[in-house]
Amino acid sequence: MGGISRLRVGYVVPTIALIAAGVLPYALGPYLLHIAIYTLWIIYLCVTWNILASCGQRSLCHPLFVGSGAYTSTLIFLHLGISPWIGMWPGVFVAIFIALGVGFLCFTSRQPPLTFALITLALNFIGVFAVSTQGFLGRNDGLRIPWSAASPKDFLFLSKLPYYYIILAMVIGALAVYRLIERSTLGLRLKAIRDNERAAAAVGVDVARHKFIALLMSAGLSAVGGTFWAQYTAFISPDNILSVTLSILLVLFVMVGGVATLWGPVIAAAVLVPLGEILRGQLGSQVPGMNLIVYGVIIVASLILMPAGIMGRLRDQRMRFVQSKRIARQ
Amino acid sequence: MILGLALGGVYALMASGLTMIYAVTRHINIAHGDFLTLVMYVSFTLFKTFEIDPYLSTVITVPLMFGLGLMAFRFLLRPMLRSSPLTVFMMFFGVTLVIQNTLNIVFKAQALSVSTFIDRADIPVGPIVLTAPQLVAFFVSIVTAISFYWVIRSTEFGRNVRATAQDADMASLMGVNVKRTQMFVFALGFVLLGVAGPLHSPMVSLQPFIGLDFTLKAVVILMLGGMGNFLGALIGAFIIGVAEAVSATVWSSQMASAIPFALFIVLLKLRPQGLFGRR
Repeated sequence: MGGISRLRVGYVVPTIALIAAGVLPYALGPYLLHIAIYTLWIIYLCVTWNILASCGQRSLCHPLFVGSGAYTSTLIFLHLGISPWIGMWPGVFVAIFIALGVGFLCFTSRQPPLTFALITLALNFIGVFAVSTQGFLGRNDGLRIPWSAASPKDFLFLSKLPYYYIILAMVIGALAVYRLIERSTLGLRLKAIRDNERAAAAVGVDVARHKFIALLMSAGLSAVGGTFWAQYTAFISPDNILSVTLSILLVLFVMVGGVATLWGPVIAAAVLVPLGEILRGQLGSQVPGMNLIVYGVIIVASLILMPAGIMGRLRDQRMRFVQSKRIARQ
Repeated sequence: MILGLALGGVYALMASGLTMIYAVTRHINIAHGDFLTLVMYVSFTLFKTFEIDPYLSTVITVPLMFGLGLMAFRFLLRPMLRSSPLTVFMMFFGVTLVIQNTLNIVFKAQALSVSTFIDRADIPVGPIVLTAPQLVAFFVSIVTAISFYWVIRSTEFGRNVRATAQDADMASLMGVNVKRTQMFVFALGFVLLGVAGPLHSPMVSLQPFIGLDFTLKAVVILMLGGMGNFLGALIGAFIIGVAEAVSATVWSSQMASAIPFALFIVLLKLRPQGLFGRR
């Protein structure tokens, strides 16, 4: 009986959510639509981040990958006039290239715990310094994409609606990729690494190689998200796309939802991002950063109360329920 | 170079607190630097409203930080002692967000500065000219660090700390109250911040978001000295301070703030156990 109800929940809820997400933009004004797009973008990044987290590595430098997608496609568009639809693929390659460097630093030798988080955090700082000192990257002022040439061919739409459906499709795609990985041998190996690296190595999993695979996939997908945001806002700067705050926020949302779960980041970001954005919209002029304070309080409280996140908590409760029934039957 | 030593002194205070906390709890308090910013803002406020000299304000900041440390341990860290280090790491990131943005709301984003009664007196030391706050920072932090080292080395409390750092379970079997030791170490780390803040405040322009930078430098020092190695942290702090000051004169100051991170990454690649750590 437990199996059937699980199956039903597993399909019915996402279907309803999908239909709701499909008709949602017609119910929203432009401001709320913008928040919806932003929320979906964050969800997309959280899901791609989670791919790497499924082998236990929690990166704090994902904005670097997002940024390489955004900056590469924008530079190609500005200087060579090549459409970002094509320009995002070199962006993916740049991100993968950077990810190779990150992986080389972190995965090729045994390191104390927390090292990965710290190295990636340091790398993110270095990335921001690097971009803000390079003239052709626009320093702190960022790069602007001219609206005059707005055409679907160049990934520039006058209405917000196409962007909404593109990012929705990207989120669904990212979730599908995550699910595929989770169900494959690759996913099992990543999970083995997450649970116990030494044991995984002992039964023949090539730990470094699989971490590399997860990192490269995660980085490449993040880069596409970067191009999307560059095209949507037509403006990129270290502040809005590379910042350490973004990197921290991604991790916070996933951790509140539940690391290495399919729906955890979706649920957490879908609740927290609109909450934060509306707070910022309402109070932003008097008390800037109120949304970040609220995020901070929520993350502290939720990690103290449920260290495994919302989905982790639900899973534990279900396990306990099943177990208690089994005991009752005996 | 000498400026580097002054910086190093302040870093040493911060890093030895962080190192101790790491040694006894195996957790890194990523909000450490933000608590330092908090102290600096407190001493700034005292200076602005009551005209209390920053150096004098340690009388207030030290007990304040002791209390804050006890509370932070009781309500934040203690419920999570058994969680994975990464979860705790992120929880303190939440604290970082709260502190930084609260400071931003209260004090706005513009840079503030403090001056002390001996400010702007240039003191020539051999061929180099130093400002008085730098000298004071250097000497006071050295004295504090040494007395701190003495506490760890030769008191009953220090012995408990070392026992807990080596093996918490074993220490608890031997009758050490581990929770209590952890709590006081945590508070003591905060006390060091209470000293470091007023010392450091005349030397920097105060902004709400600089805390994470401080923490990262402290973490770099922590790793440089070997995780949980007190003496290593002291030496590491001066290495980083000097490296930063030297690179600031050779290249730009923006470059200088990237140097510790670059150093850190190279170091982790070459000697993951730290310069003075053992495998």
